[in-house]
Parts: sequence; structure tokens; C-alpha cells
Amino acid sequence: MTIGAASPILKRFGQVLAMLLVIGVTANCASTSSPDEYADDDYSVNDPFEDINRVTFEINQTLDGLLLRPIAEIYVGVVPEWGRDRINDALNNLGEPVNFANGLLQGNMERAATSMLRFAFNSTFGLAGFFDIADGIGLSRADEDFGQTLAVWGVPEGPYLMLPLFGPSNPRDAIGMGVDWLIDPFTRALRSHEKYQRLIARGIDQRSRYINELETLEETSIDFYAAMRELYRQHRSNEIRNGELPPPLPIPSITLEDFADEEYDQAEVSDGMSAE
Amino acid sequence: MKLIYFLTLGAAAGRRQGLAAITVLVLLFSSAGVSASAADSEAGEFIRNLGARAVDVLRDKEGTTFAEREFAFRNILVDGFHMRTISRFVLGRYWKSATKAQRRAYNDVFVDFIVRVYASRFDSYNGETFEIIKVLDSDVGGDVIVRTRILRPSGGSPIGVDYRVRVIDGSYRVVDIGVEGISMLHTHRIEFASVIKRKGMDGFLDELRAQVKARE
Repeated sequence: MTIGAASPILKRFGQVLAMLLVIGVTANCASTSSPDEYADDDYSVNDPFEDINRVTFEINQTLDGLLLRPIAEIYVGVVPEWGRDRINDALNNLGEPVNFANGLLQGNMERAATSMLRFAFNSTFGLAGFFDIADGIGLSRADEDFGQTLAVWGVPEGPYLMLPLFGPSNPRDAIGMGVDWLIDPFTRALRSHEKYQRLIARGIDQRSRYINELETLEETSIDFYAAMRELYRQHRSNEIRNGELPPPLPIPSITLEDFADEEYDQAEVSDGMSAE
Repeated sequence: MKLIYFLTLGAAAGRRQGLAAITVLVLLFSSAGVSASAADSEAGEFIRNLGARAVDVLRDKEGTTFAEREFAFRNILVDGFHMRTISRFVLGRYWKSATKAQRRAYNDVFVDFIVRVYASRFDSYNGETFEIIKVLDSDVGGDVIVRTRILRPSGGSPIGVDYRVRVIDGSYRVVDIGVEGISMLHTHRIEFASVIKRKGMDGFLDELRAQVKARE
């Protein structure tokens, strides 16, 4: 099963890589949103490896419950919010060169300039990045990664992938993550144990920010895996759009008249009560 | 619609009154322009009121029980959101294949399920305020998007919330809510479809009911 599924995945990787080469040359700027995405009969979530993904998800969840989450909870318990915000700001600051590079690669000069200025201000006046003073002067974070850059270049997201340890992803974002690691000047500047320390710190920092949210989501979903997958996909597409409005969902109104026309008589659903 | 009515009226009035008909049309166009922006500000006002009600409920947390706040949340939800439209969209194509009994069971449990999912999230807010950033016309017939953001008392990054507002049966109602660009309707629709595919319609309905029961 695992081996059988691995070959299509490699094929997809190959396809994406090939597409990358072509696109790198022609540099087209096609929009990534397809109008059919929300069509009534379209439930395609592009998850051909769902069975394996679900197993990986379970393993990740177990590891999270045993290790990452308890560490994040201790971190929240020991370090006050102010301190955690400073660490978050510092780690974000280390990410600015990658934001800058990807802003440039996307041809988005405004966001590239924002990242550059943020890095300059926060690294100096912001005391090595521990204080995000740039945000206060209207330079809000412009997070750009190579996964987003590929999307802007027109590369499709490909099948959903649940990566061990790293969590929700897809070939586009997985490649993006690798490229970001390679182009990050801090990857070169830091010694190898420092690199891993930074990675681990980032993991704990991120996990600590979503302790309650993830717990509530798990408690209140009827399919946690499917909910996470959908949240990841929409979250990424929102990042790619840089927060602009998504393509509108075609939501047909069910008026009182429509409701009366239905083949059974039934009390107002909005009361949450039924007529027997 | 109104425009067609006036055009017919103008034609019926005959040539002699042609000028009057044109005057009527001009007036109509100018008033149409006014009412479009009025609709925007009305939709904004509608969301402002809804938000004010929510903030009111959360203001006095010591003096109320969770059950009371949950009840208040339910009322805000039912008054502000068009649950019938939402529940149908979320079930999507599976509505068509559902039996009468399944449809009835779904309608019975849907609002309770939504209250269960969102009441505790709603209740976790403490001291947050919200502001309307802008009101936009959406490209879908007549919908208005009200972009707001929730500001955290700690000064953390604000949360962007978009309300899709529509007039249904003569009153303003929210038909979708986007949190940081994530459509709650689309998310539930995909989640529901995934459960129905794996467990069938009855299995899915059992899951919804189990969630509602899991509430303390």
C-alpha cells in the first residue's frame, strides 16, 4: 500500500518540478483560483492518499499529545505572555529575509520592501528583533514563502499530503519549505545545532499559540482530519491572496416560499424544533 | 424589477407624456444609486448591532452562567444568520439523496450542532472589541460583504472576520462568515461530505447528535 502510493506521489513531484522549470522560463502570473472550486457538485478535495494521510495524522496527533503539546503547555505556564511575544517577534524577524526574497520572486515590490524595512528597523531599533516596532509604524508582517511564490507563478497545489512531524502540506508547499530552507541566509550563518534549536523553538512557539484553538477544534469536529485539511487549504489560499476576498461561494437562498414548496411539511429549521 | 415596471408604465403613458416618463426614469436611476449605498450602510449597521449584542453578552461574564450565555448566543445566531439557507448549503448535494426522515432529522439537529460548535469558541472571548473596516459589494447578486476585525485586549494580531450579508424574505441575514479568509460554510460542507462518504447518511446524523449530546 505504502509503496504503491509512493510512485504516484513521486510522479506528481516530477510533474511539479517540470512545471516549475517551464514556468521559471515563461514567468507567467496566472491566477490560482479556479471558478469551479465551489461548484455544487465539486467536493474534490484532491486527497488521493487519504488512507495513508489519516494514519500519518494519527501518528502526528499521538506525538503531539505525548511531546509537543506538553512542552508548549509548560512553555505557556512558565514564560509570561510578554516574554513569549518577544520570542515570537525575534523568530519572526529571522524570517524576514525569506519574506523579502519571496516578495521579490512574486514581483510584489511593496511586500518585498515592507519585509526589508521591517528587518532593518526591528534588527536595530527593535533590539535584535525582540520588539516588532515596525508594526507600530504601519509596516505589518508580509509573510511570503516559496510555496506561495509557486502558487503565484501558477503551480497547482497538488494532492494533500500529511507530512510526518510537519503536518498538513502538499507537494507545492513541501517543495516551498525546502527551497525556503536553502535560500534562508540564516541557514548558512547559523551553526548546525543552532539551526535545529531555531527550528525547535519555532515549533514550540507556534504550537503554544494554538493550544486552545486546536483543542476546541478537535472536540467540536465530527471529522477532525477533514476539518484540518480544509482549514489548511483555505488558510494557504488566503495567504496566497494576501488576505484579499476569496472567490464568492454560490449560496442559494432558501426562502420561506422554497421551504413551503418542499415535499414534506416541517417547522422552521431556524427554531431548531420540529413539527411532529 | 422596479425599473421594468416603470418602463412599462412610461410606454403606456404614450408619447405625450414621454418627457414625464424620462423624468421618472432619471429620478429612478438617481434614487437607485442612493439606495445601493444605503443598503451598504444598512448591512453595516446590521452587523454593528449584532456585534454589539454579542459584546453585551460577554461583558458580564461573572454575573451569568455558561448556559445563559449559550442561550443568548443561540438567539443572536438565529436572529442574525439565515440558518435554513446555511444548513442546506452545508449539506449540499446530499440533501437531494436524503430521505424525508433523514431531512427532518438533519433539520432538527443542525442548529443545536452549530450552537455546540461555536458557543464555546464565542465564550472564550474576554474583553475583545470589534470594528467594521469596510463594507463591500460582492459580485454575487445583491450580497454585501462586511469586513470586520476583532481586536484583542492583549494587543495580539487582530482576527479578520468577513460577514456575507443578504436580504432574504425582507430582512438582513448573514449567509456565510469568513474567519481570516476561511469560509465556515465551505469548511463544514467538506467535513460533512467526508463523514457521509465514510459512514453514510445515518452514520453522519448519529455523529451530529453525539456532538450535541457531548455538550455539558
